Amino acid sequence: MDTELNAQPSLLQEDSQNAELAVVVRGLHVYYGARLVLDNISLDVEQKQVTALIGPSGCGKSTLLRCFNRLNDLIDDCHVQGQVRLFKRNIYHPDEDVVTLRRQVGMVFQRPNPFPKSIFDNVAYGVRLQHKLGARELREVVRWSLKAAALWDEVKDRLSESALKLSSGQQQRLVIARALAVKPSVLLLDEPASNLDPISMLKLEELITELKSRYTIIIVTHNMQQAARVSDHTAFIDQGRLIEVSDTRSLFTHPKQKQTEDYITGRYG
Amino acid sequence: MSVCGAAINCEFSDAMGISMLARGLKALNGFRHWLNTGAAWHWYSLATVTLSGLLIAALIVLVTSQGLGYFWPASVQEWVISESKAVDSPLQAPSSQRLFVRVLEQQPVVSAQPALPADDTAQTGLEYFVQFQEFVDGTANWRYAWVEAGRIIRVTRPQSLLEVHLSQGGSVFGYPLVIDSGEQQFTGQALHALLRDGGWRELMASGEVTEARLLLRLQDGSDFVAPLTTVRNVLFPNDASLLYRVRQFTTSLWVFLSTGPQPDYQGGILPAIYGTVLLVLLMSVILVPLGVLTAVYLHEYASNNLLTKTLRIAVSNLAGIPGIVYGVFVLGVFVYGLGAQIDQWFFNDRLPLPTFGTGGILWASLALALLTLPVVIVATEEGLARVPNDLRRGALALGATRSEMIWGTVVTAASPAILTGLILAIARAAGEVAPLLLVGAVKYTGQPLLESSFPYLHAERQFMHLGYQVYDFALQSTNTYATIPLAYATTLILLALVILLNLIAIRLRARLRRRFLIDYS
Repeated sequence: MDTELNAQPSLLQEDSQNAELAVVVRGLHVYYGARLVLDNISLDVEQKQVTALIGPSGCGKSTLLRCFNRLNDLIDDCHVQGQVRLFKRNIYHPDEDVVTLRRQVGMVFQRPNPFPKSIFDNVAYGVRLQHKLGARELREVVRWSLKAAALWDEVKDRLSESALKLSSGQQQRLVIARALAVKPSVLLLDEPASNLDPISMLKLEELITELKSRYTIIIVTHNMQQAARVSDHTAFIDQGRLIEVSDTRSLFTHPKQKQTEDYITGRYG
Repeated sequence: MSVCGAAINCEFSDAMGISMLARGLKALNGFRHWLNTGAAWHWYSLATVTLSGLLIAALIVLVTSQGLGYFWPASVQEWVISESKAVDSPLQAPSSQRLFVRVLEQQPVVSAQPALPADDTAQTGLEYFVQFQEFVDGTANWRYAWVEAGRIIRVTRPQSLLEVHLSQGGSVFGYPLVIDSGEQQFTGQALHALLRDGGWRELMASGEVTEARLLLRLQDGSDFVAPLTTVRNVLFPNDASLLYRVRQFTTSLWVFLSTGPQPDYQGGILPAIYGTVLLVLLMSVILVPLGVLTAVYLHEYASNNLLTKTLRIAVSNLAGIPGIVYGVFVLGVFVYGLGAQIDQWFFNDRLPLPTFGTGGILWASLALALLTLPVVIVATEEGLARVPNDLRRGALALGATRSEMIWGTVVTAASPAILTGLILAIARAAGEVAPLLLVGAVKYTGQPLLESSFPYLHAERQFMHLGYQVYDFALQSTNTYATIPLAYATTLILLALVILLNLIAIRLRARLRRRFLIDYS
């Protein structure tokens, strides 16, 4: 462990200096059975910034994202080594309560996955699990969340309709509203725009930029233009290894690694 | 010229023969090509669909026509017949020479000994199977006999002939002569109108004329007196008016649906209808929680190991076990085991009379629930399998516990599939009779299942059931001529009831689907 950490002294230094870090990953190894999917990942995610994870399909970027809310626990033969610290708390500690963790870390998936319930009930779902709110407070939370997700104006007259009647772009924003309703501090987005049409995608990107002021956002994307447009920091992952991480502009304009350059210029593979 | 012509003709016909052969070969090739394209499968599958459709249509036509035929007023003929000379008739020949008969069947005469030419009973022509009445000690009994056409001297269908259904059972054919209400006497046209339009009921209901009596002239010329209070219904079976017949048809259908059974197969099957409905409802109440919990455990909680796989195969195989086996199981384990124990604990004062220790609707619905459990488990599991994993992850990512995720989201999403299972279960259970034979279905019971006072539902009581009635009418009757039509009528009602129950469940499912727009189940 020590040797691994020593291999990246600059990051370790930063960690001790910078109190603004939301997530700190150190020496993370993830195995599916005997297969190594993430190999010695160390990464810092700054608060109230957008960090993009890019890389080819199957490189492990989604697996890394799911380490942040321990959704990998659902996979039977998944095995995690190393540390993931969320606001200085090791979330893989045996005492960590996964349910509390997941209320703190919201997640939006590749395909919009609204529940087969009404729009209102979808947004209220997570809130109802935690608090017994009165009808008026609950309505207020739903309204606030839908507004934050830039969906309120489109659905305010049809809150009792099935969420599955919405378009996929609206569904994706509804899912974001659902995640925001439980007041998370970190928002994980797993290729959130990959199933959306261009206009819905632009709307979503605008939303991400707006949400940045209040939330720490980590987004997985295979669309490099998108990463360039929305993120402040970008991490390039290939074959389970973190190749390069820096602020987005310099990663896309002056990549330090040959692999990164090949990938972002499309010469990859 | 002629030779030449013949030669040309010859060549021509040769050429034609070859070209026909070529065309034949080409057609054959074309057919083989068509076979190779696989287009024939379209027709094979269409043919099987047609065949199944025809079979189902035949079933529905048979049950509907026979079932509804029971309620249609069949005409009654007045016959004058000669004395029978047949000695080997399986049924005793009618003693009277004038008969009111209902023709049930006809067929060509089959002579027993065709070798004897001089036998004058060996008529050529038809013989009729008829229903008629015979009076023993003042009560009318139905009799049945084959009568050869040659014996019939005269046939009429008198419009004024009246069929009287008596409330203590049985019916009487006769010509109405008079209704005597004490102060007033109705005869002729007035009497006919009174009987035809239901006015006689008011006469009876008015109260002050309780001793009003109807006088009938019977087939043998004697008179029959029926006090109006003993008359349940009257009808003119030969009335020419279609409207009148339709009205009589509706009346007897309604009587069949809305009243309890009477002696002599009169009356209706209402207790059997609600026995069946109640049985299915009780079964659903037991079935759905058991089935859904089992399926949720197998699919959501248990890991997919050898044990769960074995369990799953075992559950599927349970669907193939004959119904009677479940009947025996419930009889042995629950009725004689648990039921007898319950009696000792709670109903000790009534012993040795059993309360739960004998067949009852609770045990019957339990047997049906066990019988249909695999259907619900399999359907629910399939529904759960179709719920996308993203939905589960979405719930967990919002901080739901596993149970909150399953019961708050996944099961809701699978609810149409659960209803599909219930629909299939109801379809199977409502028609199942075999297990009921052992655990509480009876031909007749006077004890109601539902009462307006505590405990409202008597789950321990025996019950009447449509399927059991069909079985009883068809196979347990001493008078099958009278009961086979009843069996058809009851079958029709049973079919209609099963379809109705299914429609309700299907509508419910459609509403759930519409509400959630669930397209994956």
